[in-house]
Amino acid sequence: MSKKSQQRNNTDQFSSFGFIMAAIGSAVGIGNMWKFPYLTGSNGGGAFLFVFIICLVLVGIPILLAELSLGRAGRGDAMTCFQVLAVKQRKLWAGFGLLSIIAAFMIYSFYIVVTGWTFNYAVVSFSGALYRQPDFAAYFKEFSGGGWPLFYMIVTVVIAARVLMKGVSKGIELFNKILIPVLGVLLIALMVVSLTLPGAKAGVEFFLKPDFSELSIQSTLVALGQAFFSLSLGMGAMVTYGAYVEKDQSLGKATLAVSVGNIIYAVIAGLIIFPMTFSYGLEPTAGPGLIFVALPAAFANMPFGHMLGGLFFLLIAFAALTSCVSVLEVIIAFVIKHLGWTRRRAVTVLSCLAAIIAIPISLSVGGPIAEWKLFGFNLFDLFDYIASNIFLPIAGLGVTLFIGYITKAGAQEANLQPGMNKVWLILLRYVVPVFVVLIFLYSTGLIA
Amino acid sequence: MHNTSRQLVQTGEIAFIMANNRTALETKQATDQFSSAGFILAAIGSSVGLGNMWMFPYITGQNGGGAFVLLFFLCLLIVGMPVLLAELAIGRGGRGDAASSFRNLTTRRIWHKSGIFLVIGAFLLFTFYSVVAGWTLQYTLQSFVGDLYSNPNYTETFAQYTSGWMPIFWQIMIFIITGWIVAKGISGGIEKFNKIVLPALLIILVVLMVRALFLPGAGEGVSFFLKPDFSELTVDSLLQALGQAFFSLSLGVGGMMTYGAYVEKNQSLSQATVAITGGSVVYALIAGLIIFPTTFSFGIAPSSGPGLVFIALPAAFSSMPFGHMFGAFFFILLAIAALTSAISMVEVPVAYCMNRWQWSRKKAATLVLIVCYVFALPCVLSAGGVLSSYTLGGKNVFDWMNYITSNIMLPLGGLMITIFVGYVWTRSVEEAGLSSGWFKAWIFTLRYIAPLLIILILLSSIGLLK
Repeated sequence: MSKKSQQRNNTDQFSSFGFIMAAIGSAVGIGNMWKFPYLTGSNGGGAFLFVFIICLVLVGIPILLAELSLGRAGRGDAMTCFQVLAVKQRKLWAGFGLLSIIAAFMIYSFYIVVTGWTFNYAVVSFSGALYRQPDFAAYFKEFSGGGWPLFYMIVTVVIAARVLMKGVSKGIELFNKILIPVLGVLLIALMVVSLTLPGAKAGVEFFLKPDFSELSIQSTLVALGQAFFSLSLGMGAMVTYGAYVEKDQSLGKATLAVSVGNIIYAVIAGLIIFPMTFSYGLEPTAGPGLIFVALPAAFANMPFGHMLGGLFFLLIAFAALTSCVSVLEVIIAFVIKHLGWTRRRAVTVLSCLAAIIAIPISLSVGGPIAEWKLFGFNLFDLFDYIASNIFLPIAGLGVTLFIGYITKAGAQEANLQPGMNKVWLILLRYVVPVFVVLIFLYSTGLIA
Repeated sequence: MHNTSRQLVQTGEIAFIMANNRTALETKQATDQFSSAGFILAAIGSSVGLGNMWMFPYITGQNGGGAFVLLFFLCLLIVGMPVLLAELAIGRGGRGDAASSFRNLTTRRIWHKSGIFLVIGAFLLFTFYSVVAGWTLQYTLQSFVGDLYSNPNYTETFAQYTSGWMPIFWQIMIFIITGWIVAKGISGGIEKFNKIVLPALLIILVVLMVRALFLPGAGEGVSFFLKPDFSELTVDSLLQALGQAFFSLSLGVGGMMTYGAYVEKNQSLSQATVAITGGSVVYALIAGLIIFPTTFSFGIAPSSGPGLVFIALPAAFSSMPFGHMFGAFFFILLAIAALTSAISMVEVPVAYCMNRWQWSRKKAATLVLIVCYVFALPCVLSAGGVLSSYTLGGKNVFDWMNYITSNIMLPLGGLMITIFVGYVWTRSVEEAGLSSGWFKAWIFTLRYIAPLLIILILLSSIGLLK
């Protein structure tokens, strides 16, 4: 059976375009929608965007390329790649891979809950029920602790499982090839609507007008973190996808395309959100409060608000789904390889397991077990904190050091021009590790 | 697609298992099966129960009348009927009881043990269902002799009765009647009983309906029940319609699966599904046309559940000419509806024991009911009786049995059935008797729509959706 799955790995690959779509789909998620625009707006707008792009070049892009090269060189899942390529201390390096796989599973189990929320909001927005609520904050609180999130979480799991069951080219690739362009077109349409609202200009200014006086060490750290997290690094997704890339595709170009695509989606998201909040005199914030509390208030007063709101939430749900698919594929690839399971079995068992774990996670957000706390975190925040703030930077550091110092296969695989290659390796060796440690210290709250 | 070889192996193994079991099964089949009409009547009997009488009419009235009925039909179409057909198909395909049918149809080990879940569900369901069925027998008798109407405070009468010792006697009567019918076998017991009482049930229903519709002010009740009011439809009514579509067909306990094993190979299961669903709906609609004209005519607030039939309706019967007799008819009707359902519940564990330990039907029925009684006694004593104040989390034994079986085990059982036919069993097409277009639609529903909707039913029945 493991022979069979290996065989499939060899034949079941991404096409060149399909891979870029899938990687953008993996990177573009809820974070781009609810985190990036706000961080940009509150940290000096265009000036922050500038710093962010520098951070992408210095940290995000080198690690992304490292992950993709590692995947294609090792031709396996996030752990196998290390095992195949490491000569010495195989267990240590495999440990980094395993850490990213564990992080991926933890992220999947709370990400499906959030994806479920967006599905629910799409439905209640289309039906109009959302706008009959007197208080959106109270509605969100009541809703998130109840049973509907569980239902939509299962819907999410089923859709993701259906896609993943069909394999790489017929499942993941096809899904992203359709959804990502559709997402782009609809986002642009929403952006046009948003930009033509009265008072939209104030929002655009808040989002993009460069104000270099607002830049501080703090905002640089924020930009660094965002450059790392917004590309879905450290969770093995890009390593896993990298293993399905054809040998003759240029990974350097792909890295560039994915990063640019990711920025474009995030900027468009900002150009939807801020004109809207400013036009209706709402306080822009970040996180769930922005899209589940502030934006419904804007949609409620907008002509065709039900439809536009429904569309907006559906888009976020799609963006989240494409990320869900990539995160679960990390674990699926691992299980197929190491337990010799069929894809069908891996998808079924892992989906069921994640759905079961997601039940208490969902109920911990304002639900019956909201008061069960560890270090002041409820279950949802705990999963998020451990996986995103601790595991991802460590796993990212592992890939960086491994490609920078240990294996030459990465550089061969990336196949950059000699000059670029040198720059990349210098970054991976001396610059990126320092920054990733900074990201780790900042995101865990060790430096403030 | 990618596991064709595995399917081939699976098919081969099934053929092997079938060949091994064939002799035992064929003798059983040859000797004791339902006739075509007998099966449909028995299945209708199983699905028509107290829920159709005291739940459906009330929910309908509360949720926009005719508009809700339309929604209910839709839910039957996308959840009730597909799952019913799935249960019947598993039963006939597996030719066993609710547990061994799964084992006969797949080599996947995890399914070999899961069927027992349905058997336990049916077993526990009977422990509290028998209590309520006993009440209907008592009320029948009391209504005939007129005792029931001596005290005009029916809440008090009901409390007095349930807190006494009589319910124990009537529960034992239910045990004896069901046990006796089940012990006589499929064609000589279950089929015969249903063939006699279901037409009788229909006659009584029609007589009562005609009587109720001619009461002064009956029109108001009819319009409360059926007048469509689409503005009353909400998400909550959708959930109620879904739940009703699922529960009113007695799905998720393996009753239909067990009956399915006794159906002849040449009978069309899809036609049977339509007939059973149609029958169940007709009974429920007539029940509503009895209950609402009566309550409205006598100015009684319509409610649901035991309160409706044991408290509100007796008040109406007491002021109706020949009310004792109509009351008694009504309670006989309830008793019959309850008994035909109880029989299907008991048949599930009985069939299981017969297969599992090769017991004779008589022995299985006797032992199952004796063991069941051990659980049923605390149930009856806690439903208003001496044990009713022993509660855990606000529920006594009776309430817990009801909650665990109806609200948790039934939906989970239904989910198991849809997933099994949707994803695991590869040869359901042979049993379903559907044309290829319908078959595709059925499988699609079982794969994606029905499981998600059953999860909604589960979430709402355990109280998470408010």
